[in-house]
Amino acid sequence: MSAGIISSFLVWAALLAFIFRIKNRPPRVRILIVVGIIISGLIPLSGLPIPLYIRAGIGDLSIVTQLLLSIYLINSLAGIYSTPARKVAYQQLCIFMLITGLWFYPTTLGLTYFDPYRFGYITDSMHWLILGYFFFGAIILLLLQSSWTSGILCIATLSFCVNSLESTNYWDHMIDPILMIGSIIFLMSSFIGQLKKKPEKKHPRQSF
Amino acid sequence: MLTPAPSHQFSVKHQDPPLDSSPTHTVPNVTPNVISNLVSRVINDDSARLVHAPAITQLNTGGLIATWWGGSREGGKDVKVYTSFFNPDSLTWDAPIAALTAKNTQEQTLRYIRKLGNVVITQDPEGTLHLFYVSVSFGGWAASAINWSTSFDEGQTWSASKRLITSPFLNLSTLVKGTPFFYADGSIGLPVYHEFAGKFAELLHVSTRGEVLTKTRMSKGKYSLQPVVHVSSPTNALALMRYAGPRDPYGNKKVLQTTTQDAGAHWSEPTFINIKNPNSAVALAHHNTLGKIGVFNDTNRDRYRLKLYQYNPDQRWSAVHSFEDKTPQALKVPQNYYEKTLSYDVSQFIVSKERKSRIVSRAIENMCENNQCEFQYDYPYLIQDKRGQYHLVYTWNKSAIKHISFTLNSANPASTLTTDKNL
Repeated sequence: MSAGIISSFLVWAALLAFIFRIKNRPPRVRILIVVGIIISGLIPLSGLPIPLYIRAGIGDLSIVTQLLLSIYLINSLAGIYSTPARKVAYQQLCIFMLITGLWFYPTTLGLTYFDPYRFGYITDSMHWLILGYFFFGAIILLLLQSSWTSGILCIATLSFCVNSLESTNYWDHMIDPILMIGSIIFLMSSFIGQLKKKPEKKHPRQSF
Repeated sequence: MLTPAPSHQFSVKHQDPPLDSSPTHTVPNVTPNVISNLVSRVINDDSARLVHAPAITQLNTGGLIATWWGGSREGGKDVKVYTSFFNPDSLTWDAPIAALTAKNTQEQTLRYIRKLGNVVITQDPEGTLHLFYVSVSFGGWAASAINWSTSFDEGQTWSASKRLITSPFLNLSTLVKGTPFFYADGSIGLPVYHEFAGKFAELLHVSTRGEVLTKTRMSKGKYSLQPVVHVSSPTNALALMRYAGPRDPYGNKKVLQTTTQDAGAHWSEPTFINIKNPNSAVALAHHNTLGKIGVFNDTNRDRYRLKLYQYNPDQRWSAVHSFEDKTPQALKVPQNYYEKTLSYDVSQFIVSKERKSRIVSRAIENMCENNQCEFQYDYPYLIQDKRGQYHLVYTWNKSAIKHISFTLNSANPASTLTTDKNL
């Protein structure tokens, strides 16, 4: 099973975990919901499981998005809440990805001859530019004390080396439009949360 | 400009004649060419109401294989990709085979597929057939993606389809139409186009294992699509494109042209050539003495005319032959007149009498509304076979896939092509 197929199942599971607010449920209910999620993801609807309809619509998600979704699901299942420092790290990653998407995606519309997407192919002589760009991003995150999200970029780069996705393009392992949407939502909710200035609720289990 | 590495050079078995670089005011030296051995055939059968977008390639064994899509309507769920073989001994097309459907593409690519579309085919130097075809999961053609399937037995069986990832934006909007060609290392050059926010052409460099190696933008903006490429040397090629933009100050729309001198790494700013284009597909093939020839709907509006053009030493194109011409009936015509005209046209086809009558009925079904009918001959696809003979396939009134084989000889006998056996 390629990472691309896994990504569609992750999206389906994350969607249901969010809808059913799985993190707030008692452990036994959580297990029941998880069983429900797994069954719903495998039952064919007109010959195809629902996640493969999602795959048709949004394609294969980047490894970065898949890692973030996996973290969200693990946290939800285990009832773990992120520490304030980790939340800041995610915000920094989202800002980096948003900045990247803001200059990258308009170039895919064909308005100019400049097409950075082609630099994502390892056979292209300029591929080092994009590798360098994300290396630079990982270093910046590291300098901002965000080794966790810097590691996410490194894992995504490693996954490119082992051809984990159908795509042979480095960009597709690092970024996707769903990550852009997710980043906007996450940053906006963080911003609104800060405006409300509620004291941070302490949870007995705080991890990633 | 740096010369690309040999592996990134085009594969070319011919050399173009040198271009005339003299001032354009001189009288062009246009060699008259005559078409001969012209034979018209119909490839498809009656299994699909509407057929469109044919492609053809020659097999190493000498025959031909054609492919197209057909179904109850464009974008219908029942649309299938058909293939058919041309037997070089009996000189007939075999019964078409439904090679690919939305359902089997869905099962093989593991994602929902709603409809299939344009298809192109080529055979690599190792003998493997490569089929690239468009599919859509949600929305219209702008949401297309390309799938790839291969055959190691000259089209008898096809491998499981694989999705090509060609765009970072949800892999949306990449389509095929132009004839694939080869690089020196045996990899494939696949002309593609986008029609999502803009309409522009790209060249995909694909390995024979279906991996996208790289891609290059051939044009930009919102007006150019469906590129066809003619390779003239290991580094040089010319591409023509369908024009989807507004008319020029003289009320014309013309075919776009772009060129490369570094094996497709960079392409020139597109310019118009002297052939009109009503926003319709074009075809291009090599010619041993002229360099290249093309087939075009050379009108400003609608697709009622389909003509063969030759490329002249003065870098201008001139008409050689009309395959279809309904200029006097360019506007819609009454159904009885339409039926009479088509009945005469199909009388030239090499098919049974019953089939001829069914083709006309199908054309009336597809092209007439409220007793008003229009003529449409479009989506040409042209190849030159190993003996120098040409094979043109195109959509005939959305109801037939027409195959015309012909030779194009110089009126000057000294440069006439020799063909030992005509298909």
